Amino acid sequence: MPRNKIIGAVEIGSSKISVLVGEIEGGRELNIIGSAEATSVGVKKGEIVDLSAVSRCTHATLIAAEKKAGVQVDEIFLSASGQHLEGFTNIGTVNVQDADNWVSEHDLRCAGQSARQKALPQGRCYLVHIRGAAYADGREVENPVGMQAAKLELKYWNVHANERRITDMIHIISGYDDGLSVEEIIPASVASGRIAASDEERRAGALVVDIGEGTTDFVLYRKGHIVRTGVIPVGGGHLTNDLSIGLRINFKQAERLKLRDGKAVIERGDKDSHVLLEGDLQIGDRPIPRLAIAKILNARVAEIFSIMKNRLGSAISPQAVPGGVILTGGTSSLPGIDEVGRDVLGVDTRVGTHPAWVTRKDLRDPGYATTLGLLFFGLQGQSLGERERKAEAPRAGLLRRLFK
Amino acid sequence: MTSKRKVSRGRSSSWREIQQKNRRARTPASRRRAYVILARAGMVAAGLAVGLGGVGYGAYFIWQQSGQVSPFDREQAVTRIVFDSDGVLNGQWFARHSPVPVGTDIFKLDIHAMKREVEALGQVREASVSVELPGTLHVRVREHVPVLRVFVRGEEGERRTLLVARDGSVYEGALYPSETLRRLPGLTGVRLVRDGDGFRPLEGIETVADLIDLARDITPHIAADWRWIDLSRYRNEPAAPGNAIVIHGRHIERTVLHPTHFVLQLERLDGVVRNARERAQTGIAHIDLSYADRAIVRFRNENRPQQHS
Amino acid sequence: MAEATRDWQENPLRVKIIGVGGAGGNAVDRLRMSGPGPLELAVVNTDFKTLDASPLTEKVMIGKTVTGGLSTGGEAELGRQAAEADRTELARLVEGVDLVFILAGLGRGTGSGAAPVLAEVAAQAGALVVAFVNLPFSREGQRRMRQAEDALVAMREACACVVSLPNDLIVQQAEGDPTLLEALAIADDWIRRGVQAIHSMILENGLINVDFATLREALQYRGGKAVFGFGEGAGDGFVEAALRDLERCPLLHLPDNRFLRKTDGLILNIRGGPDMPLSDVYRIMDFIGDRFGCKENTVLGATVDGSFQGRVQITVIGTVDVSGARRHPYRVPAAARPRPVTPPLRPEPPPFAPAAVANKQTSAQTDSVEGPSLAQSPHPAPWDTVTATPARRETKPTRGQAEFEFLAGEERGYFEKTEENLYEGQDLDVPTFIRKGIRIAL
Repeated sequence: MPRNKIIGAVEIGSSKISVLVGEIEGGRELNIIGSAEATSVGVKKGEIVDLSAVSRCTHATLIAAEKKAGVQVDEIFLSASGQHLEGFTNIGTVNVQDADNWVSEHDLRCAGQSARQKALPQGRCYLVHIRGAAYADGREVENPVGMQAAKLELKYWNVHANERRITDMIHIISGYDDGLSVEEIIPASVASGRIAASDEERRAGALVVDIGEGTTDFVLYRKGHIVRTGVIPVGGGHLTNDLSIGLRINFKQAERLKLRDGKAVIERGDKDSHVLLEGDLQIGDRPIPRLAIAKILNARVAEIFSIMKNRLGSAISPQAVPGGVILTGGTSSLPGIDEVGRDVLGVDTRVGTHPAWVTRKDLRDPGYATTLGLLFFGLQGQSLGERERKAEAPRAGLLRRLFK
Repeated sequence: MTSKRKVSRGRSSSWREIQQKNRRARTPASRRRAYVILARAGMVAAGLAVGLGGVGYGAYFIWQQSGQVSPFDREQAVTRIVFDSDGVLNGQWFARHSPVPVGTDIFKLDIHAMKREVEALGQVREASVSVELPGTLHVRVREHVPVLRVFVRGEEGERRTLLVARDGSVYEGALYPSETLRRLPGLTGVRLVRDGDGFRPLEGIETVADLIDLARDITPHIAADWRWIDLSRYRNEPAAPGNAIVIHGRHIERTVLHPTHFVLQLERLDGVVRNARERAQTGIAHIDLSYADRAIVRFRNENRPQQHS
Repeated sequence: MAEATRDWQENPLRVKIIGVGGAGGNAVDRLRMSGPGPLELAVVNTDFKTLDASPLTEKVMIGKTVTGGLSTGGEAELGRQAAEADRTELARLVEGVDLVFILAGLGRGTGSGAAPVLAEVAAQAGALVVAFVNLPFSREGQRRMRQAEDALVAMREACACVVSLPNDLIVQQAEGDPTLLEALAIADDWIRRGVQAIHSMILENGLINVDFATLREALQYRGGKAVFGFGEGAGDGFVEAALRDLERCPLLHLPDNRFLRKTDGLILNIRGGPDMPLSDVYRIMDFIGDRFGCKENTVLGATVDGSFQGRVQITVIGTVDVSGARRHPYRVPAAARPRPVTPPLRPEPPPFAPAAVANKQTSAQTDSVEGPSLAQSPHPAPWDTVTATPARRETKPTRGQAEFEFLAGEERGYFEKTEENLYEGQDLDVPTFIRKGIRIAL
């Protein structure tokens, strides 16, 4: 039996950098043996704006996590976010080779290859190719292998990113330890979607929205497949900034106020109710009307959801997502945010919880959805045994199974 | 479709094609971590090396031992005795006093007993005895250095001269040149207590030795004049009243010094002596410097004491 | 304009800065102001000890009969009585002074009680009275607040212009946890800028000078609120930077006047380097006029300062006539009005005559009440590249709230230095409530 693999899940977020260290035992069991998190410096709206500052933070966090785990990490799973992430659907079509039209694994591979092959403009690179539905002669099927069809179609959701930004992230990891390899780079939405939505929800069709500090990442599932992912470069940081500008307070005060008294819905009593800025009876403290706070936050949150609604168009409706909208990410703790989501999107919206296997209390915070998701992918990847990694072999072999 | 594939291959279309080995993004923290890992590896390697070395040496030692002859297998006679001293004693003297018969089995010699035996000889302060195979016996001694002479009467009334060393031990000197002995002042005013063959060590000799050394250093002409040193008024505690060292000399009949602050007293003594000489006065009969800041000086042929301050 | 006949050479303008009460006195003490012309400093207090400690030479003790040389103990009524008792003293203090600045901390006894009396006395003596008053921390309690509010109303009655500086706001300007001294330094700086703007406008030989009568004219509405703000910009595009800075000036965002879009009288002082083109002055003036909806009664002063190379400082003091004594008829919002792209007088060759400003104003505002008469600048204009840069803002959107346009493009706060976050033509980094025009009442 190969020795237990130690994997590190790294999320370089706008508010914090979090690292989870997982030990994969016997390729099946995942133990979270270390975690660390640090306030992020040099990341805004999900993108690295100061590489050396982010490197320092990330390395310090990795060291802290390794120290807690007591072991060194062998592989890194990274999450990616930011405005530069884009995706498109592509369908790979092949004529089944077999004379009697029996669909083989080979046909499936060919279809996958053609679906993933679209050339990207200069400076872009693919992050993941996520397999969607398969169609045998236009019929949607779960697994076409062994079926009889003349034409096989495979739908893929391809996520691509700005090559420079991805290179920066890889360099942060290789700068930590050049023997350490980045095993996967997974869009944050994909990672947190895996944690926030249950299998049933994904099968039914659901939208997972991870509202972080700098970005809002969403992933749309239909029949268990990912059909869309997206990033809106607006997050909790914008809520804070809005408060800071609107209430004429500094960013730190605004952040505290948001966490303490922030809410996304305007209620009746807000007009006459005030909260103290500091609440410590210090000089300079002053009362702030709840109404002002609620108005500012409501406007922003509603806007995030309406942008999402615009982006998704008809893909978001009560019929299309019977599983509803599941909110996660740090900002999903804002009271009333689900209510706003429901109003704007017109779909049942709730704040997600982590699956039961996440037992550590501190990791049950919605802010950990992404890193937990990354670890989960690490585990899945291990259970596949020998990885098909070579350029010739279909790279998405891993993900194909993952996203089923 | 093949042409399409070529296009996509032509550029880095997947993030996996991005070069991962890159050291430019190193940070101090990551560097420190690399050092720690390296150091840990180094320590493990060093530990391993030490362990292996130890095992290897042990094996070598055992192998070597097994090749050696046991020392108890046969006899080895003492063929040579080497005596070595830092003083005046020599091999003949040693042979006379501690006869180790040449030809004794060297493995039967008790060198510890021998050492004790040699050290019991008065003039020897410290001895070391060692055996060098095949047949050599090494004896090294460090001797006492005499500072004073003391005269005693033997049981039969004969006059014996003993020597006193710095640590107070009293012994019968041997092989000293007579010139050395003549320069040593005599010691009076002490009680010698018998202890076996010899005497118990005297107290306060170290102080006297210091005084003599200082005097020879600072005022050699005065030191040369000293004949007897009388310790009858000496007490071991400096603050004791009347505590004094009395010195009898040829020119200055009596010099009384307090057993502390010798340098100061010697300088004053020197001053008084010079002063007296300049005034062409006759020899000084008595100088007492044991009072704090005055010197009581009595000149010869005069009966009244004169005070110098 | 009777005063216009006064011979200023013979009889120069007298400006006096008077601190009332403890806080006011301290503010005057700390007011290290540089500027031409005589500037008299004085302090008024009831407390002998405080007065004695002041390094100023001109000290007036009031209310000896009322407080016996002690402090008022925070009783505004005592302060008022003290000032009333020594009205003659106060009258002597302001006698013959043309422009009186009163600095006071409202909320406590002497400041709240005596400052309005002094203002009244000074106004009666014929001086133009401008006051800068600190308002207490809201933490200091309701009573203080009420005293301060009452005093503020009284001050507004007596003064041509009362600029209020809430201490709450001052403390917020310093990042983190400012010490009292830091907070005071900020307040001092604000007061200094206000005083200096008015002072230099009248007394410094600038590019565009304002005579005293004009100033008086602009500040004729008593009982009104005052808007006070300043902005500073340097480097590339310093004009825009200064305007943006002005827009962000916390004083313009006071609850009272955050959404104030219209003033009745406006003093605008521009301090720029010798390299500032005249077109920039116009641009600032246009913008400010639009921003505060007061084109017809703007007093413009522009000062050239050698040390301001590539830098500009804008100070705005506006008054709002709340009493309705002389309200202007409502006009079409500035932005909606057709505006000459190139003012007729701009191509005029140098040397630039300051009168052009007045002309330009009147030409733009056919119904102008009275074009401010500007003092003749003795210098030929140092900026003679006027024609080179025609107004850049000619493509004005016709949105109703044109003023927001500037805001909308710029209020990014924390995201200031990041890439624009465009979505359907809007920058998402700008707060939603601003882009949507949602009113936030504080």
